[in-house]
Amino acid sequence: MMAYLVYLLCAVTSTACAALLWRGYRRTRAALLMWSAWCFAGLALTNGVLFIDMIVLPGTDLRLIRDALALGSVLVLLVGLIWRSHD
Amino acid sequence: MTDPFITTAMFMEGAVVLGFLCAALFFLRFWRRTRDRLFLLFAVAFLLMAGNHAMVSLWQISGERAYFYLPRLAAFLLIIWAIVDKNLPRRGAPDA
Amino acid sequence: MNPGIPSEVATFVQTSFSSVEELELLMVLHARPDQGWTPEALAKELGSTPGSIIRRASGFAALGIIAPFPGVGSPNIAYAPATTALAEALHAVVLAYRQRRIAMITLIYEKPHDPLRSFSDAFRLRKDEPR
Repeated sequence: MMAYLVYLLCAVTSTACAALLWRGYRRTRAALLMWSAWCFAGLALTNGVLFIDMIVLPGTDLRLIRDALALGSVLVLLVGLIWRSHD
Repeated sequence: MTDPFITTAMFMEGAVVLGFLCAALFFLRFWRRTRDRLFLLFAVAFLLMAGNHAMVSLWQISGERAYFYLPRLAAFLLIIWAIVDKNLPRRGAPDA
Repeated sequence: MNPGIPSEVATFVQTSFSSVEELELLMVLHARPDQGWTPEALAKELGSTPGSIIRRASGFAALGIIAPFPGVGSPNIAYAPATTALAEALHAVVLAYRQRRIAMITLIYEKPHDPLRSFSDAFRLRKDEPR
């Protein structure tokens, strides 16, 4: 039961962060926000796949897909942080 | 343990942990530069995410023992706190 | 973001121009494309100083709005966009400035220079929250 709530909360919070950052990107055109938004969207998706993997389809192992999503999200964030965190 | 799937998964999971750690370091640096509490909270959140992914990967935790995901829960609660904190009305000197 | 200004124009303005003087200079040069100006003449036209005009003109040369700027002698500043795409973009800026001058000026001065501040502000749920 706790598992449902944790995954749900993480997915919802990530989505909210992605939405806020995307809105900020449209207002300010600061690329850092775009990269960060994509990261949080990816993390939301990762949590969604985690939910599916653990609860909806417990027989399957979606570990590689989850890992690829998480890695992609983090890489995208790092691009933004390294490349776009200053003028 | 030469299963290529497991090797690939461990490889990626290691990279993810390092990625979160790097991100946390960047947020720490931003906090030092701006004194904006949001960055500190994000830094700790990403540290927790790194630790959580490391735990899960090294101990091969499966989802049923959800208490192993408590660090992840804590991380996202911190992010929520950061957002709430940013939107509370300011009293006294602004926090920048 | 700003009503009435197309977002491509807004992006172009915010990335290419940093002062009202530059917009006014563009307007003057664009209005008479076959006329060459000296910095002194432009300064008189815009109510600025020749030194400031020279600085803005160097920036324009770097963007390709005018021909490369010699910097010595008595330069002849004239509207000469390097590419047709640039010419179209500049034309859009000129039109927008004619129609919505205040909004365009606001765009320039609202330009955020600090990505970190923008990141942090993104989590403000309402735009007018105090910092």
